[in-house]
Amino acid sequence: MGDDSSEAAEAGLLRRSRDGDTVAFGELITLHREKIYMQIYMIVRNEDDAMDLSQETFLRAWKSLPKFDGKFPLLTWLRRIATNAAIDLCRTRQRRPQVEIDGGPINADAASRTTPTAFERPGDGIDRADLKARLEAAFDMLSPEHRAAISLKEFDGLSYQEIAKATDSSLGTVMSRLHYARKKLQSLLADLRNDR
Amino acid sequence: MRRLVLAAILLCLPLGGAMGGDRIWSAVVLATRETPAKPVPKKLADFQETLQSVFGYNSFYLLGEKTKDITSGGTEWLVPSKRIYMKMSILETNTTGYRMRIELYNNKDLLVTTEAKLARDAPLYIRGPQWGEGQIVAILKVR
Amino acid sequence: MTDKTHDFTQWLDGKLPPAQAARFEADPQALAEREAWNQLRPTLVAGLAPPPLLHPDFINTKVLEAIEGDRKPSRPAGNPLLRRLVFAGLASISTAAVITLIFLPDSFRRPSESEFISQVISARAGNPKVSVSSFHTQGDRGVVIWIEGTKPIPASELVR
Repeated sequence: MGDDSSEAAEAGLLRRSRDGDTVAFGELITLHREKIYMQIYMIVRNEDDAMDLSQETFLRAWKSLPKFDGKFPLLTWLRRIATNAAIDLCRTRQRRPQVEIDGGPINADAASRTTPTAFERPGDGIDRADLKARLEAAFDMLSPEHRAAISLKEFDGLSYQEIAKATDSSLGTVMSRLHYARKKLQSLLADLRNDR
Repeated sequence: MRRLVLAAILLCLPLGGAMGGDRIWSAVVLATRETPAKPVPKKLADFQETLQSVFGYNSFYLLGEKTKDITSGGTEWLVPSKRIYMKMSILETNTTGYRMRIELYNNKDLLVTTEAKLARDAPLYIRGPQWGEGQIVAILKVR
Repeated sequence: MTDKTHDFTQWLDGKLPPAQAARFEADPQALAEREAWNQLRPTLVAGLAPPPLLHPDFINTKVLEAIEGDRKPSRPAGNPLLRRLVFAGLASISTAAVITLIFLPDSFRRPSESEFISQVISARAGNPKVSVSSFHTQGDRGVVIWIEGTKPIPASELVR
C-alpha cells in the first residue's frame, strides 16, 4: 500500500515536471538525490565530482523528460544517466590524488599543501586509515564500469536486472563484471584476510 | 539645472558596474602555533598581519578556497571545504560593496548567521571552531 | 565470459537453483572462494562506504538555477539604429555628468569613508550557548566575527 501510494505520488510529480513545473521536479530531485550522489561517488570516488555530476544528472534528466517513456522506474532511468556521466568523467579526466587540498580553480602553492592530516598521528587512527587507503587503492584499480557494477550490487543491493538497466548493459555483462571485480579485489586484498 | 545633471549622473553612474566583474573569494584557513613558524602561503599574504595579530597564531594552512561571481539577489553556496562552508545571499549592492547575509556551517551545524556589509577588498574574518591545537578561520573578500 | 562464470556469480549471490548449485557446493575451490568473498565483503562495504551528502539542498538549488537560466529569453536584437542613437545619447549625458562631477561639492560626490570598511550589521550564533561579537581590524579595513563556545573539531578528523 505504502509503495503504491509513493509510486502514485512520484507519477504525479513526473507528470507535473513534464509540464514544466520546476517545483515538482525539485521534489523529484529531493526523493532521489542521495542515491544518485552515492552511486556516482562510488564510481568517481571524489565528493566534489560526485556533487557536480549529481547536478548534471538531474539537469540532463530535466532536458530529457519528454523522452522518458516509463518502461522502467524513474530511479533506474536516473541511475543510467548518472552512470553514463560518471563513466564519461572517469574516461576523460585523470582521477585526483587521494589526499589533496581543495584549491578551487587555481592550484594551491607549495606552502599550503603541508596540511597536517590524521595520517600523521600515531595510534589506532593509522591502522584504520591504512586499511581504508588499501581498500580504496584496490577499488580504484577496477575500471569505472566494474566499480559501477560492484557498487550497485554490494552497496545498493540491486538485482542483476536492475543493474543491467541502470548501466545499459546485458545481464551477462553484469555478471561477468561482478565476477571479474570480485576476483580482482580478492587478489589485491588477499593479505587482509590473513591479517584479520 | 543642477537637479537635471544630478538625475543624469544617477542614470549614468555604473551601479550595475558595481557588480560588473566583482567576485567573492572565500577560504578556510587552519591557524596554528608552531616552532619554527611555517611560511605563509602566498594566497594568505594579504591576511597575514590580521591573522597573526588578531588570532595570535604564527602558521597558516589554506585548507580550501573558492571564488564565485557575485550575482545580485542570488544565493550562492561557497564551499571552500567540504566541512566548513558558507551560504551567501546578496541583499543590496552599491558603489563600494555589498550587503549580504552569510551562514557559516560546520558539517550540518549552523555556526553563525550574519548580515554584513562587505566593502571591496576589505575582508570579513570569522573565527570558527578549534581543530586540535589550531583554529579554523573563514575569510571572505570581495575582489 | 562463459556460462560457468555467470553460474558462479549467481551461486555466490545465492541466486542459482539448487540443481545447478550442486556442482559448486561439491567443489572445494569454489567453496573456498565463496568463503574468501564472504569474509572480504563486509570489510569492503564498511571501508568504502560513501561519505554522507552534507548539503543536499545545494543540488536542488544549482539544478533549479540552471533550469531557470536556460528558460530566460534572450534579448531580442532590436533596431540597430535605435540602439546607436540611445548609446550616443547616453554617452553625451555621461560626458556631461563627468564634467559636472568635477564642479559638484564633495559631499555629493564621494561616498563616506565608512563605506570603504567592511561592517557587521548583525550576527547571531546557531547555538544559543555560543557567543558572538565583532570588531574592526586595524590595517585592512576588515571586520572580524568572533565566535566563542563552539564545539571543537576532534584532532583526528581531517578538515577538508
